Amino acid sequence: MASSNLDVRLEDSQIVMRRVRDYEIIADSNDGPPRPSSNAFIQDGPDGDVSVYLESETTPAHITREYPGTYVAQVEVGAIREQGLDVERDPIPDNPAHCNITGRKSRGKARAIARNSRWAEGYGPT
Amino acid sequence: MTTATPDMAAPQRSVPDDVLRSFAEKAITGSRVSLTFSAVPRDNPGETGGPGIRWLGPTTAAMARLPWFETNLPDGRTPPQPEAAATLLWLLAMALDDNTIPPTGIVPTWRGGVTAEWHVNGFDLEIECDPSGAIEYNFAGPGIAEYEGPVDETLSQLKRHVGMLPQDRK
Repeated sequence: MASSNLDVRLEDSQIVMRRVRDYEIIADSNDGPPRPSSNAFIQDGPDGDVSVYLESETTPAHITREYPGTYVAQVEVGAIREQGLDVERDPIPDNPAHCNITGRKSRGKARAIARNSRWAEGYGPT
Repeated sequence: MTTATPDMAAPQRSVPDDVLRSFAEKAITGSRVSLTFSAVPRDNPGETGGPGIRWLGPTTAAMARLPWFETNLPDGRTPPQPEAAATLLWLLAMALDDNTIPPTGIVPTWRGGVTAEWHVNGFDLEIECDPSGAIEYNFAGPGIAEYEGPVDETLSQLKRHVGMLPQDRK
């Protein structure tokens, strides 16, 4: 029986996207331009997973269509794994590109991920 | 996590008790919180915090911009709860000096809490107050072992870390 996409480990170089609200953007004089707060990469549900979307399989417009004014941060899967976390596919009816950042997320780890993120073109603060 | 209560630590603060009480009461009023915080002068906290408390006005102004009553939050986020903001203001009043620079960010958490963040001169300090009253924080800086966990009952460790932040002498 052939493996489904769910069984294929994501490459470190793949990019995932995270929805970020304007009040989750902070000034970081340690790092230059405004970036997502650590809070944007900590907990997204009772299980602690954080929802992200594979950039190669969906678009910022699609994942923000129900949330006008939402920004989109992008980060490489490898940068998440460097923090001892992982990214696993978790397709949902609304979007097969949905994944979860899994593992125990400390504030320090979330900050490192946020600092390694960049804004999707046209979906960052001006 | 440590649960904060107003009598947990000795009140060695420069913000007057009545001001703190006023903030807490107004925050917990809920429906009035946005207007109340908006009314606090951003750069001149004199009316509400007394002259020279550099962090208070910007902090409350930043709180006013949080999505207090927004219902369409992505990914199951809970709107920030006034109780969390009141706890955070109380904690900052206990732990910060008058000249401590304002937080560089006030950010809601996924479960309705509020975080104050400083990221300056190589130091990172993030203090999270949960609606339940639980408080945790993370501190990291050059040559300093990163700390992440609850505040201690006397706030002594948090105060020591806060003391490493730059002071605003304006």
